[in-house]
Amino acid sequence: MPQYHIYTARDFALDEDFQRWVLKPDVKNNYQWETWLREHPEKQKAVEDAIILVKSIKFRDYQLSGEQKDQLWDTIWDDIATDELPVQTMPQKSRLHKLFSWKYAAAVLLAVLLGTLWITHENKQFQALTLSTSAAPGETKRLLLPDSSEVILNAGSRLLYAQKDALLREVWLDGEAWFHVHHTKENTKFIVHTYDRLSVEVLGTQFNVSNFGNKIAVTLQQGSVKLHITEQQDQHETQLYLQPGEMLRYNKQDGEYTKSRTDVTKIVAWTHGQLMMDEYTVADAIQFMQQVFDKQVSVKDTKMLRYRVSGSMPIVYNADTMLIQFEKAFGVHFYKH
Amino acid sequence: MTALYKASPQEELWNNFRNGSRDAFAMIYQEHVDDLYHYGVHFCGDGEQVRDCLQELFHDLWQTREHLADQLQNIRYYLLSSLRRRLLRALEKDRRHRAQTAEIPFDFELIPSREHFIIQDEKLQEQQQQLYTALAALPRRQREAIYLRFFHELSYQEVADLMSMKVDSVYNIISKAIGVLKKMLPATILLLLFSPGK
Repeated sequence: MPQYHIYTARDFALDEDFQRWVLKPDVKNNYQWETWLREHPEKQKAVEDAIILVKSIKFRDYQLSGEQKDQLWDTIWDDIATDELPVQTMPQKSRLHKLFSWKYAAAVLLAVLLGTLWITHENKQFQALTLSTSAAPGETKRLLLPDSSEVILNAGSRLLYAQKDALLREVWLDGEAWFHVHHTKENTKFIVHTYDRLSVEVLGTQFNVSNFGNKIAVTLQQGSVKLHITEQQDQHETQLYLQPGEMLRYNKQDGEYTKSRTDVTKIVAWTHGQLMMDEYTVADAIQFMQQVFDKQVSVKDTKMLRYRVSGSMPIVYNADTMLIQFEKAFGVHFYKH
Repeated sequence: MTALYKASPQEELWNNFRNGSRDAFAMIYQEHVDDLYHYGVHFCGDGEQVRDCLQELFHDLWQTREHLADQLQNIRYYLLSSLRRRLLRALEKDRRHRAQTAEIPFDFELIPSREHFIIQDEKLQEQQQQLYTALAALPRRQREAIYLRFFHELSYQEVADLMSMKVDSVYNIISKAIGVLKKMLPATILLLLFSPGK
């Protein structure tokens, strides 16, 4: 232990532990230093001086704006997505591009140049584009949209992409998808429609939309989204915003909705092939089998539906294996018909 | 008064990131990007250059995550030193293009802390100005060392490693700066400014 009892103000100001206490006081170092000071009251003055010395060292502040921070993140993620996603690009005939990447790059560049010229000179002479894709039961799909947005489509889901004019990107989702929307220089809106009264509007951000049965759930991971909900009776529209970590649940039948905080990692766990189970019931598992594999599971004894477990398991895209995993987790047995 | 450290959640975050968790990656970004930007702008004074380097840094970080060390003591240190290398490289390239031998414009400008502005007394104001001048007169490399210790709270050892110098030199630099501050701050201000509990 350093010989603090002979320290001068300057010595204290040079001591790493002392500096840490001044710069980042916490319960522990507060306790340590205050106790020590009570035992060495003659050092009060030296310590006070040293505190001022440490505190008087300041630097000019430079900050990224929130927007710059989001944009930078989008660019980083964009680069990564471009590296990682020759998995499947949406126009399906892109197999050969890898082989002729320079040619591809040149063609894209030319197309972009022409496109830009087109838009700037002809204004509004924009070529409309519509694409659709779906993930069959028992599989997920990673997609790269023509605007560089990344989408992971969950099993049994359909997605339609349309760009009707230069300033609007729209998708229609049936099922569940995770989006990482690319923020364009022109601040082009990106809208997720749900075939119902709710739609999600963003500029560039990451979020999850689940649209199964009568329920829609929108969960925001990063950035911000704006939700449009049209009332059932009239044309009146409600607009809501979500903060990262918030989820909006919407009921299609009665148009009721609630906003709550949620654990985003759990919601998006499926994109990494994980099923996070928090008080997960047999009923939830049955719903899962139906959604992901389009398999019907029924129970005779309804009491069984309320069996519950917590934990996580990998999602295996094979109905039988998944069912066995559930059997083990719940300690039950499902018979095949 | 030995400082005890808990097994840091940093390690867990880092390992999740290395195993490909995007959330962990996003958290690392959110946690460090502001500090890195602050350092970068102080380092080269060019926000755009810094953003370019940060983009490259985080991109490479993700792409090479599997090859990164599994035992990482301090993510912040790792990122700061990586950014420093990239900035130096970029500035070097830049300089070659311009074919000039202009010095790299390090900033690390120390500013008097906000409390000092309360002082209305003319004599004290004059002293404050002297302090400011004295600190500004320190060589840039020394100011960088002070900055890394007091703004980013890197340990003396880490500052030394990052700037490729000896721990003793870091200690001496900071000792010198504290000496300057000590000389300039009259005892009266010290009493005036002290607020218990902080």
